Amino acid sequence: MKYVEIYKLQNDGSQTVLATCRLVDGVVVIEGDEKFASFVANEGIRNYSDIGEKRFFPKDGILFLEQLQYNFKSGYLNAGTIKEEL
Amino acid sequence: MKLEDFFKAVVGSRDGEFKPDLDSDVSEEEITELYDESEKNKKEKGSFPSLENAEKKYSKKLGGGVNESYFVEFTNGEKGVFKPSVGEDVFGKAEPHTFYKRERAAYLVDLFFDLHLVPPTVVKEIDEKIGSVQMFIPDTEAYIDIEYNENKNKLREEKSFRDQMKTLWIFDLLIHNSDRHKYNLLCSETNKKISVHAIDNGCSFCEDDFFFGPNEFFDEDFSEDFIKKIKRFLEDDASQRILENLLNELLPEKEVSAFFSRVEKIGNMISESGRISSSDEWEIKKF
Repeated sequence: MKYVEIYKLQNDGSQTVLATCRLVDGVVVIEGDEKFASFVANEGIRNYSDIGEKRFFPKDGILFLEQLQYNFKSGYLNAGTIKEEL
Repeated sequence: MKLEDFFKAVVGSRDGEFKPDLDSDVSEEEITELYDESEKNKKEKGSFPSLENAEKKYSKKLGGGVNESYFVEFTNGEKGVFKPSVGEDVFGKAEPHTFYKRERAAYLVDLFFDLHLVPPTVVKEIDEKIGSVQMFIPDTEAYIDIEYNENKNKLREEKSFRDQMKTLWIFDLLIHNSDRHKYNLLCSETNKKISVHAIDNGCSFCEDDFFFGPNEFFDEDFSEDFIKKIKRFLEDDASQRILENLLNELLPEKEVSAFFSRVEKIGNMISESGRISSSDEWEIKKF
């Protein structure tokens, strides 16, 4: 199962996992911070690729998962690369 | 030439600043000297020695993000987020490996308009990598966290917060930011007053589509203080020239030129009517 972790920066420079976005049956299910889950579900994230709509939502599945790291890269909130869970 | 004319023409006048003897005559050499001093001051204003000259104590590579980022602590106690050029991926319409320069350029615009939204940001070499270092702001929450907090959400309706958000909206329009989502806007609270901090400004100045996630403020009056700041910059030829030179060191000429066109267009709208009309939406969001 493919998934992406969202990391939040703490005052001491450490990072904690704010949320985990998992690809389940073609859609992304978000576990963890409810505000983050609501945010991406309601407002979506920007699509930086040339393919598809301007914004992606969890329902867009892998396309959404692939774009997370381009959208969350401030250092304060970073999205990891896609990992595979066996 | 009288000193008064010099100040009107080159420096502009600011309340509480240097009060010259306006009736005295000055020589061309003195004018040049004053102008050079003015330029030097502005350039010094653009610098932030406690970050620029700071020595790294330790750095930690942060997980995630398409571009590399590091949490850095300096021996003088300052902390920052370092984004090296070599760690940048290529995406959007910005020239490759220029995100760190855009971070710095956004800070300079904030500085020259006196907005206090962007944490101090410098270009610096750390561990033989050139990149941007932005001062770390501790104890912050993302804008979305404020929206979802019942008590703090009320603070969003207060004038001081709305004024900051209006300022941010205009700032983002000026730098043509394509990435102001609600996690690239941090909030900190002091004495029940929220301050906003505009971070991750790398996707600015280029031809990507403008994007501003929070509410926009069409047909709403801006504060007198903000209008004054806009007017002051529009009337201050010297500051404009210095900012232009500084931006030209960081951005393609076409982007600097587009920035100053937006400054003129949006600045004039604000200084003439004190607001932005919804009928101008398409016009102000153009590159």
